[in-house]
Amino acid sequence: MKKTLCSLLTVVLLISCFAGTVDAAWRASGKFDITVTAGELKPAKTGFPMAAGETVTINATYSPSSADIDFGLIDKNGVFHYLKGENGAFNKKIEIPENGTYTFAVRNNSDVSVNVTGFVKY
Amino acid sequence: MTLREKMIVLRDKAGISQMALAHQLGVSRQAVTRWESGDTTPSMDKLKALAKIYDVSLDWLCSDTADGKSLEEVVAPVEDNGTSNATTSAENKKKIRYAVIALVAGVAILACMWLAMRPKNNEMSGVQFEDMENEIVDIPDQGVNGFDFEWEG
Repeated sequence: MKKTLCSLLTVVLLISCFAGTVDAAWRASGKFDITVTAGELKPAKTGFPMAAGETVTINATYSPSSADIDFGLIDKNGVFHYLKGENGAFNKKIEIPENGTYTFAVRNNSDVSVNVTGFVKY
Repeated sequence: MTLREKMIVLRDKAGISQMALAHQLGVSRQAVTRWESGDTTPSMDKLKALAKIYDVSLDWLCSDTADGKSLEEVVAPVEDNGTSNATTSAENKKKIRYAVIALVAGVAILACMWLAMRPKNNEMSGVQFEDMENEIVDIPDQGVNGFDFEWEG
């Protein structure tokens, strides 16, 4: 009985470990720490080559938290797809609609410089 | 015939339940069950008491190879039935135990699969482009105004 229970526990632990690795299947994760001046749209130097259905996770905080900040991706046609940060934070996963290279960008709609830190995973 | 088999047959012949026997001996019903399943053996005091209750000799009760005439007389009428019942009961218990273990294992595996598949609390479902604000922008020179990531993967 004890052997059976131990075997069962081992199976459960193995599956749990497998479950933990499923979510960690990211291609890359990049940190950033930037200052965005008033009214500036600040893009990353390099874009992400993405396939349709893949996701880009953006997790960031900014200061001052009262600032009006847009986070998003610029597609190959120069369209900035963005969402606003709230209360000094932004945490979203964006699903890519079609294959292409997408550039992460942060826009500061405030009239003061804003310090933005965080990471992007894709 | 082993001690446990004798205990099963004698109790069956006496027509008393495990609970009743346990009560007479001052032990728990589980103790009687364990004796009869062979998991444990009664102490000498309990063996003496059993011999007295069933009106058999302690020597006969304790001897695995005691197949003398008096033994057959005591045991024969119910031997086959008692032994097969005991065996069937043990097999059934084993089957039930395996079924319970299989059920628990199945539930555990399904629970793990569900945990693996479900999005974590701190993760959100993917936002579609059509749910976002869209605006054509003049992209600044990325080489001059762009920033680099500190890549980790």
